[in-house]
Amino acid sequence: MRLGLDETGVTEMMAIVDHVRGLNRVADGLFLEDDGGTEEPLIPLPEEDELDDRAERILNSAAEAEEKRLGRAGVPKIWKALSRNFHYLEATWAKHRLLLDRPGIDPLGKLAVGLGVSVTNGSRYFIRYFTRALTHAGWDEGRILEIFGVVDHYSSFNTITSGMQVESDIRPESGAER
Amino acid sequence: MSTIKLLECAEITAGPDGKIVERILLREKKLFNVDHLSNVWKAQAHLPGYIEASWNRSRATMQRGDVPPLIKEMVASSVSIINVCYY
Repeated sequence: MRLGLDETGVTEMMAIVDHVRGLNRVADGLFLEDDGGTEEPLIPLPEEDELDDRAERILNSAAEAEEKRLGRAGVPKIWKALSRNFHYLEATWAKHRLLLDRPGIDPLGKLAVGLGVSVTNGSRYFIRYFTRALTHAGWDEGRILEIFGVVDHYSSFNTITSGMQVESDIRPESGAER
Repeated sequence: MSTIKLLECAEITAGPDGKIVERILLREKKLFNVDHLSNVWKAQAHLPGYIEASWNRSRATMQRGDVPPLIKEMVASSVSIINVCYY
């Protein structure tokens, strides 16, 4: 990383990529749509009286944190969708909060990475999630489109270098060399 | 080993004024602190106009706009990770 991230920052960025990639897969696999969508999720979202107390507490926490992030009330479908498995919901929500809400690299950078990963994976649900979070944080359409431009340009460079098996001649300085 | 011969700077003619390579070298020096043309550029050099088109898109997407450079670099790295691009 050339512009100033240290090992902790690089690891944090990698962890966000890892986390969002997984969430992309799950949201798409469960056919989750945003609020305007009409398709039924693969596994029906549970009604409130179907939840145990532990899951309900986490969803309440998610409602509060996500309202700050997204600027709208309610629990995003992704968390409701996971709530039929308390342990999975608990671990995934804890990871989400750790990576997106703890101090570390630029919070807008985290959301932009989430958007870039989701666009690359074609995850409709999370493209909307991260776009909404960025616009709620103050980004305009021009900045959102800049992220699409970076995704486009680097997908192009990735294609060229992988397709022609071009060897890297620019490597980051490794920790061992410092 | 790449599947195509990577041209050296002197073999590359690109751009209306022939100075694309010079411009890329200046930026590579600034960004990576290297004095050579990166292989990703050399790989595009056989097709006239290709380097120039990519360079213009690189400038448009990475060097212009309001999003801070570090955020763009993080997104670029993330895309490359998802695409399993070792380069």
